[in-house]
Amino acid sequence: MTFQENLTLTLRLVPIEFLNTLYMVFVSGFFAFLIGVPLGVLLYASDKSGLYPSPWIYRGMGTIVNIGRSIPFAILIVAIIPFTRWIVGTSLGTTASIVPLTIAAAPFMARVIEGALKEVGGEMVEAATTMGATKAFIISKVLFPESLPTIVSGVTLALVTLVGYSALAGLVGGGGLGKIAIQYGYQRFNGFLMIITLILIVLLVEGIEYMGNALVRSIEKKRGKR
Amino acid sequence: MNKNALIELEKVSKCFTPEKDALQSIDLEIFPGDIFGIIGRSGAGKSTLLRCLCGLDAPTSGRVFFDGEDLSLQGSKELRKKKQSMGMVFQHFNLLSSRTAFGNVSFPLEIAKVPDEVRKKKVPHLLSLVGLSGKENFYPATLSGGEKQRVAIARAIANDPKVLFCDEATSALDPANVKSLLDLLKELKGKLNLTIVIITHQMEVIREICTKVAVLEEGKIVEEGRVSDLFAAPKHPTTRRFLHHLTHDLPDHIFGNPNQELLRLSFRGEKAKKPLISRLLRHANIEVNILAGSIDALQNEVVGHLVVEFVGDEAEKAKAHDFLQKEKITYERLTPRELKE
Repeated sequence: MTFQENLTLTLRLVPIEFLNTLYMVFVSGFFAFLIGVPLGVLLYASDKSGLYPSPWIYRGMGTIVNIGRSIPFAILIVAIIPFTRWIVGTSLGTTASIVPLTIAAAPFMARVIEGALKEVGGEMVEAATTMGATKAFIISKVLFPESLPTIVSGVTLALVTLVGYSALAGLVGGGGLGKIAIQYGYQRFNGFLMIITLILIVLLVEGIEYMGNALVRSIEKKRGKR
Repeated sequence: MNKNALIELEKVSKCFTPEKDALQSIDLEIFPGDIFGIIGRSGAGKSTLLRCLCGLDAPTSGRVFFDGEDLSLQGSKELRKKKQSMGMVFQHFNLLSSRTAFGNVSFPLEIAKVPDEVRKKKVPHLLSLVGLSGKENFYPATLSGGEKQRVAIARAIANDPKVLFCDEATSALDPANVKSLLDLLKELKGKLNLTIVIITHQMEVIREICTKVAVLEEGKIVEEGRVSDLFAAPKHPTTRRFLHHLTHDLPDHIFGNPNQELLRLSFRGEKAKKPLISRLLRHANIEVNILAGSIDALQNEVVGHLVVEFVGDEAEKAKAHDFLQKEKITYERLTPRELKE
């Protein structure tokens, strides 16, 4: 292929698939966060130093979360095809791949939230308890605001991981930059498109990290910590 | 139970391990208007005692009364309500880093569901009470240690508590800040009709501000009473150790003279002002060497201590003792070892 042909192909394919990647990463990130927050709170609260210590819930939840995190994503996509089909009506395509992406990222988010809440420390919780605060009040008005910077950097990391996972969605008929890499780079030996895709993915990861870090910095600056 | 006491502990024990009790059958009464000090070394059970006092922990056995009601009989909702009439100041401030000074002081008011308009008026007033007017929008990370503790105090008094608990509140501050913080507490007690309970390991804090004190050792109260009584005549060895580190750190070489007699003289009130030693020397032909001395101005009395060495023959020393007894000076003989402790 000539350079001209490559360029035409790039302009036809890359912008739309780049948007598809963004769509997959951020929508699944959003849903994973929605699932991860209650799971993380539950993990935090049921641990032995938490607000409602309950070893059974903690161990049970912990096991589920760990299983979720240990299944390789390529296998997860295939394994939950019936579930995906039940949710979105099909197991093929960009939207369908949001289901496995969400399921893969939710346990990660849960651990992010759990870790962030634990970082706040018992002294702060105790201080609020001595003031007569309810547990729900402590979670929403003490733990989350205090751990906001840690949560933001954890979510940033989860989004970066999702970029990696989303590339695999191309394997099973999902869209995104991964699809270009597989269909053109791998199956048709098109080095030009391969490199363009790589550069875009690296830029995307850098961009997400940059925004995440900037957000953390601005929160900390506002709180007088920098 | 005593109807007048604000807080009363009745045979309170707390054990974490079956072998040893962290608190052993503690009886304690704290009356409205007291500035009550609880002093003990680390591990003596101070924090455990405080956690029982403020309802954070339930005692293993015994009862805690606050304002006439048994805390263990309260449901969790009533207990939360009760806690809103107690303020607490912590060693490490425990301010929310995500909130400004205003937000931190407003926090307990939000817990108590105080309406917005009231909060907006009350918080600046509270901050001005602790001398932090104009610092409303400062985040804790931008405040000094002393200022953080002032915010914490404003927060602790936000819900007009009956009692203010201070858990080693001055331990993380430098001496100048300790002094001004204690002055602030005294001032607030007068203005707001507070009862204050102070947990500390620093006798300076007790001397500076407390009216009553309990000495805690290995989970037991070994001595309790008015601060002036304790300073004038400490009975338990632990109390003495706490008191005397304020004055004595004497080098070894001054001990060892065989004719030497070591005494600690204590005087209170008016006696502290009389020129005792020069009159003593007119009565007995001995050498008097002053090794250490202190005068403590307590909340309601002046208490003085003098550690002296008498050197001379036995007959003259006996005359000196007669003089001290006639003058009704409390004194005790010491061995060098006791003095070093």
